[in-house]
Amino acid sequence: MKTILSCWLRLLWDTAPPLRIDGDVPHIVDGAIHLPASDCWTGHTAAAAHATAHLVYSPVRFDGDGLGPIVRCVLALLEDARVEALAIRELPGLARLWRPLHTATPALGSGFEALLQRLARSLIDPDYDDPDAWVRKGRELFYLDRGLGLPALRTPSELRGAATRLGNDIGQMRLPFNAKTYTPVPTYRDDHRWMWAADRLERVAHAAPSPTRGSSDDDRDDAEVDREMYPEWDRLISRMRPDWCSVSERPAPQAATSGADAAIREVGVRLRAPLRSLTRRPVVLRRQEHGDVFDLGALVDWDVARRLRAAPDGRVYRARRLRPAHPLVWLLIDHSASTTTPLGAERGSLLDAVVQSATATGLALQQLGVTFSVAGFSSYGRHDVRMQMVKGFDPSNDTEWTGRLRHLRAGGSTRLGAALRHGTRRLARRGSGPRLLVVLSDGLPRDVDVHDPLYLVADAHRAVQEAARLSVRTVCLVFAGQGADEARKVFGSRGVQRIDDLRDLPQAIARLVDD
Amino acid sequence: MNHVAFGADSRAALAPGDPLASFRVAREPFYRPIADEMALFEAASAHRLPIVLKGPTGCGKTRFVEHMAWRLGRPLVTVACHEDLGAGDLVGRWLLDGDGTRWQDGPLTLAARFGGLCYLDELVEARADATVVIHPLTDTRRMLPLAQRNEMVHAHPDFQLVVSYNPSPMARQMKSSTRQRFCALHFGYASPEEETAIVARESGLGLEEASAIVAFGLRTRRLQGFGLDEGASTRMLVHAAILVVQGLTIVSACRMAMVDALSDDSAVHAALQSALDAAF
Repeated sequence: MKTILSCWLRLLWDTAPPLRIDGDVPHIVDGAIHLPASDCWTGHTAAAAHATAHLVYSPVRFDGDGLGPIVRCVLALLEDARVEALAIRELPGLARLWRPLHTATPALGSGFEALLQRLARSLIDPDYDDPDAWVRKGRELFYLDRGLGLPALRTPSELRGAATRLGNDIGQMRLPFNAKTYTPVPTYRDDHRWMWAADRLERVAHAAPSPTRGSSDDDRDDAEVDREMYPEWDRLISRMRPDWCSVSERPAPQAATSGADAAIREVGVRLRAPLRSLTRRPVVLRRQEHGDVFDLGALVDWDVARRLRAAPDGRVYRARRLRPAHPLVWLLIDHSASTTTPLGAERGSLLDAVVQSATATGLALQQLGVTFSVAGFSSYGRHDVRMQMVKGFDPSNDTEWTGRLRHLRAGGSTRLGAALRHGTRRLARRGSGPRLLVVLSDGLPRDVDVHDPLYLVADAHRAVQEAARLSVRTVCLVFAGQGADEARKVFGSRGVQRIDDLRDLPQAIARLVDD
Repeated sequence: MNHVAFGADSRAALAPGDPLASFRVAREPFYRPIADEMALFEAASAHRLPIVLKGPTGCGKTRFVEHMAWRLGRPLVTVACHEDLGAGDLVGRWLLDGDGTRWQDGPLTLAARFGGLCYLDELVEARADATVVIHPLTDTRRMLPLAQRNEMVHAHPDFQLVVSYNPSPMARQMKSSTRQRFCALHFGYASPEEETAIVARESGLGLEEASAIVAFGLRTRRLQGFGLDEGASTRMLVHAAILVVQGLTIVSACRMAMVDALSDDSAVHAALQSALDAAF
């Protein structure tokens, strides 16, 4: 519902105010539109269009100084009618949306609120003719040309003048009016709290959310996790050390969140084209009817058959076709302590960049229908390499896994080889299509119990070769940092792309995938 | 040869011995210049510089090339590139006949041999081997090696290559080794007034109704990147206008030509439909 509404408002006025479906009455706070929870589509559209018309056509706020509550009510009503008249002039169909919601008639009586409702109706509905003198006066003040729907009141001061005159007139009628309980009718109209600066401050103070977040830190409970043992390559003795590293999988903590933001989604859309080549792989077909080059064997057979005066088989070409493939992808995210490095002003940390890239890539893979899994890894010595499972291979709701992804916290070190072997084992067990393991990292394999800087690099390189033997391709995206050279030693120069900005991601992925 | 689109009504200039006769553009295709693109094209064309036309779907790139081919009096060989189009589809291939094998020139070879404008529509969609095959034709060598035939085709002095490219977020990127061979002409949608004039001229609809259709089309372009890859193209607007001339109301014409055609996503479709309701 919210997506449709925001697309709709963009189509109407090229604006995308934040929409919140949480209010009891429609209202505007700080440019965000709050709508009541309702299942009724027209109720929502009428309220959203009215509120957005204020954002588009109304001044930021009105000067309420020296205006009594009655004049304020009338001024708000005239402003409502004015923005609606302007909106209807631009988008005539909106009249069909709003007019039926105005149902006031003289039968409603001549109380204060009844008169306001009758005035509201007579300002929007040209077929409605109200006998009341005050209502008629309001209509005459409001319209320059009633047939064309041209409002005469164009500036706040003209509006204020007319409101004061009408307000004084209705004030003289001594009708009972309670400003505290008054809400505009029809109910699709917002409660005008945005119009008066002082009220606004007061309301905002009320609306400020209390930041209480119960974050349970489930990093600690180790009791119930399964451990898998992996060997490690020791470059000094040129041997594998069997069962050297212990890797445990645990689910990443869930976080309440509202999906990925627009910039990441847009990158996700741009990633679809480069990633699509994963879903198809070229095959060469022999003995085809059409193709680029002759299939020599078939050509010889054809000529032999012709000379024997038998019926030659005309399928003599070799052709290259794209066959659908069913790829498996594992995104492996390095969230070691070194990823807290800030990338510069307003760009957040390296981990933020890594998480954003993984989110965009995951969204694109999801839309392409590729089976993929996302995990974060960090290590605390060889006995404790942790995989935090953000998303398994099973299809999952994107708000859930993007939330888990965003909740990854930096900590520990980078025992890359063990993580690669674990990902390889998971990928090799499944499926028959192409398998790709993407590491998103700062590129520096390190761990607390290893002091030789070359040791883990050599081990990770070994893990990459082992993966290749199991037909798992391993590639690495290195984020701004000095790690690109070391990553090249691990993954080979063609398996590494360095990116400095999220916008470079599609091109980097294209280079990694096209290989 | 099913990749070759024939120029509009091209039989008129049929001359004996002209292998490209059927590719000549006989009648002037309507094109309304937006800026100085005609002068720019002619300048590049005088030295046969390769040109890439960039711009969104349906903004008039193909029509512009047809018009320029007509203006310059050159045959136009058009190839619509698709993801399965390979080098063989452009340069040609060996075929079988009763006596053995026979070489058949592809559209690119044909244009290079006999001197025509070769227009490769959406070149980036083609397979990588197809984009590479144009490289020797687009630098000073101006030649096309036919490896399968052991032949080197030296391009005719009138040969010129024009490609189009739609740089949308969904499209593939053009490789810089290809990109740097071309001069570029950037196309956008015309201003609303000009677009109205184009829609009115192409469809025969009155200016007032045409401008209402254009106004709605402009709204749909606001959703670009927010649910739509591209908003309604000028071509779509012309379609809507033609439907109105045919007797439909503007609302049903816009629904048929734009709202129902633009998106399959139910939310975007619902938003477009409601916006259409609001706009008229």
